[in-house]
Amino acid sequence: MSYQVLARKWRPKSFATLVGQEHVVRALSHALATGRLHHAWLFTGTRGVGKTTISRILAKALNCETGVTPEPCNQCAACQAIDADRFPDYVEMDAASNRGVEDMAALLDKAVYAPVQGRYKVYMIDEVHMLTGHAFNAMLKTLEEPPEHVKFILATTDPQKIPVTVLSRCLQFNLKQMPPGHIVEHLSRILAAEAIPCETPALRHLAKAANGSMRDALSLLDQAIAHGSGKIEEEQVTHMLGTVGDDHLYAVLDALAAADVAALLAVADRMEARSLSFDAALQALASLLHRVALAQFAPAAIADEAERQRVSPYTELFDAEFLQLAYQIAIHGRDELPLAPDDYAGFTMTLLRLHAFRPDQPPALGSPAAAGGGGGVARSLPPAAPRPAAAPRPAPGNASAQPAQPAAAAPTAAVTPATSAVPASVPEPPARAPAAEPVQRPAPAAPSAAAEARPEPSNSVPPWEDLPPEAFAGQSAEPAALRSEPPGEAAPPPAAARPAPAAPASGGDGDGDAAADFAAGNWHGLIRRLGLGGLVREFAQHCEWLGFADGVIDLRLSNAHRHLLDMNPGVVERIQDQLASLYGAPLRLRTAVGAIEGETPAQRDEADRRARHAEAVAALESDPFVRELIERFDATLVEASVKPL
Amino acid sequence: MIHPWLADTWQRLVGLGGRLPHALLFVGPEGLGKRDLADTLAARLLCSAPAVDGHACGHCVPCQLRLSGNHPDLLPIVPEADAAPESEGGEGGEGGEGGSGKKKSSQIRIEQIRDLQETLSVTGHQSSRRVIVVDPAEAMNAFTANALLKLLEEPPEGCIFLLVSSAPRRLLPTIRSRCQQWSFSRPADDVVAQWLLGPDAPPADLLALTGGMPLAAQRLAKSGSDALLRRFVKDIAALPAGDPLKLAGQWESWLKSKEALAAGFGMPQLVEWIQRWVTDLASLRLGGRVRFFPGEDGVIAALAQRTSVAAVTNCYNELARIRRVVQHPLNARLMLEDMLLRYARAVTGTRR
Ligand SMILES: [Zn+2]
Ligand SMILES: [Zn+2]
Repeated sequence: MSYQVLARKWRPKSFATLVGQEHVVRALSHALATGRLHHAWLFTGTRGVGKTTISRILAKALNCETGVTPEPCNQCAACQAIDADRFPDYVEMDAASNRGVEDMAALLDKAVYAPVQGRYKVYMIDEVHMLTGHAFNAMLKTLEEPPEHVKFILATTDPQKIPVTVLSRCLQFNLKQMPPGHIVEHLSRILAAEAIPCETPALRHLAKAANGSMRDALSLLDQAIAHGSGKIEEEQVTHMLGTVGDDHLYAVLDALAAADVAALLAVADRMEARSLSFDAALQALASLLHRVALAQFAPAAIADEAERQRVSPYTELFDAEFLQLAYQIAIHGRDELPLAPDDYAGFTMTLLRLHAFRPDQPPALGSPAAAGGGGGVARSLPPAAPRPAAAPRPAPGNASAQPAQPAAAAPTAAVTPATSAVPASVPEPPARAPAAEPVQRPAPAAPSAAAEARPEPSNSVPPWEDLPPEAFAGQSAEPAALRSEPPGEAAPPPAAARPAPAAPASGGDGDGDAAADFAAGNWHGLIRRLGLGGLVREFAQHCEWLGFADGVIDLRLSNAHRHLLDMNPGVVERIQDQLASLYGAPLRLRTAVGAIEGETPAQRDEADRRARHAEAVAALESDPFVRELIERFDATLVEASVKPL
Repeated sequence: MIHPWLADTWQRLVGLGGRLPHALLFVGPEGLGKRDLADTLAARLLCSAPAVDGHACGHCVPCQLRLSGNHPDLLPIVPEADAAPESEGGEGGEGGEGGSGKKKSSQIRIEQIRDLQETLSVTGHQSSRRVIVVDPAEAMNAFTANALLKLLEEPPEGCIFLLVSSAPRRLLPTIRSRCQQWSFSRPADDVVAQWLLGPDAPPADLLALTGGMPLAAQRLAKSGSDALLRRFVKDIAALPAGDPLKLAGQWESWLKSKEALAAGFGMPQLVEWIQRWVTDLASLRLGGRVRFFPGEDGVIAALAQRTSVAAVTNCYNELARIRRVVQHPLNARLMLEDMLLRYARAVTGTRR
């Protein structure tokens, strides 16, 4: 009998015990209580925030023998069967391993029959973004006109990959990452119930490492219990997490400032002795260098008081240019880690480079620039010593907030600056290392310069790889860049912000004029002219044109898409404004909701698209080479690239 | 078996007893015995009467099944290329040239996961316990890994997953988050020093060459690599005075020689050795120390005197780039010439 991991044992069984997703719970509970049930929900959010958990509770809420309720009883046969994963009318399909159209067809075929035991057949399709294009299409038909007794729950960590046509038929909920406070509370509750003693600071470390995912937090808690043989202590937890403690990173800065190579390498040895991740260390070091630069530029930007105090002395030790160069060396070092002989070598080479390119005379150690006692002000000016032109230099003003953008960067590599060029173009530091040599200007740059100029493929980093927050610099120059949002895990943008892939048509064809479209009631054409995006466009596409008279346009939104209006009440006004400016005179837009009598632009587009797509796909699929590809690799890739026209 | 440097870990794993989670992920550099650890743990889990020290007894029915390679509840998920018995190496020599059939995949294929799902959906044979060993876990591409997620989170009763990875960064975060992770690094010097005294221990210079990874060194020793290493060091140390193009030619034939083929010594390994050599050189030049070739520190120090910081870091970068493409060199000779010219330029000053 193997141990049941905490994440499984403590999976919440009711909305009341679900932590951290109050906004979703409120909306779902309301819908369940009032009986206004949508037929398809989409839960998005990063791993371990509760998508599957909510889905199971929802399935019980719909099928509990006490009636549709936000508070399923957890006692009746239906509730218990769902919890035990043996309820005939609740199907969890894993789209990752059942990606194909046959899998989807098999599922949908059964959907038409009435439920066996429950009130509703509930289909939960997890990781739905993994479906092939064919499978999405197959699902679309059922999503459009689902039988009364069928409910779909879609879940994904990657909503960007879901076709807008599917998105628009679902009520979307974005599950939030858990704030550390919530996680700590939850862990304490569980430990209390399990009668395991613990030190609270240890839980804070775990919560931080979990990066907003409750499942991660519980896995880590399991691990901590295992490591601590039955109790949770802070020291043990930090050791277990292999968190590259700030102490190591500050030790690097100290050694750099003191030009102490032995101390620098000792940091690497200490880390290795504890099996800490050099990869994580370089990421953390880059982030620290960035914070020092930020503190230099605007001390208030470091929100945390304790951290500000700790960082502050280092703002005096290094100048802005070195910090920026060092940041790049650290990032580059991390990217190249997989190509180094081993991680230890890659890490120490990065440290040695930092040492080699450190400023010869840190201001605090008596350079004339610092003698004036200037604070941050003097520092953002170029230092007296001439620096090589190619060394990335912060643009005046906000640059220290975004070291990821070297001012001198070639257009080829914004995120991964071709740092290999740096050593070549920076003049040699004084030869303090073993050999005293005839000082040579580094000419060897020449033969390799051509190679350096090539864009680095830099694809050793997989697409899901976390980038440090700084790597996304450029969005905003202010402290926002510092927010502790775990990199790469940031919540996906709200659906409305997402441009519909098909949008860019924007009426550019130019022929005919808008007035004619208004007169003829050519709604399809008008939408193209408006160049709407995302769900606003989806809304427009699902309306049919009723008429235009006395400055009032009447539209009818299809019943099935009423939620597009609920989700985004401002949508009518937005389209009205755009129509007015296109028309060149004020007008009013009125929308009713009802059954479509004619044809909405969406329906027309869909019919066209299907016809053309079917042709294109049929043509392609008969190609034996393509067939082989589809079978062996990723059918979505192939199909998504089939562009009729 | 449990290597001495993993003894503590083993104790802790055994100590977990019933608290062993259903998914473990062992991460750390290659050549440490992570897979051995996983296999030993698997054996323990399947054994019906493990010994006091936690090891499988070796006598019970499940143990005998396992030892004969037929335990139906021990499910290794490995790339085809790794699973293939060493049958082809014997005669064909060059093997691949004519293309005697498809090349074995070095990926774990999604079908393997589908088969696993199927297997696990019926109950186990010997007991309720089943152990799945996935090695290396990073051989799963995104699709394969995604297909494993569900099983990994909620495996059928009694299933335990042991994942092994030396490149955890290439794993999906969703895979990592479903496993309890155990990290390993280079074993402590005193433990390894003890081990080096035992039978089967590799010579110290091979251990250094592998960066202190005992099993990697042992593999090199068994394949007879110490002679190769001696030649490598002799050649590269003599290069500043010699002709890089000539050496490239000699090395090209060397790679095709009987002893190289017998030792499985090919371009990737040669490039790795040069890279390690240059790493030592660069490290020393930048104020660090010699690590991979401690026996040659005199030679390397002398070379370091002749090079500039810029030249040597440049050369280090170039080798990293070469390593990126080493699996698919367009032309072995060209690659060798290119590499040696770059190296020679770094160590013979800036005149050329
Ligand atoms: Zn109930
Ligand atoms: Zn046994």
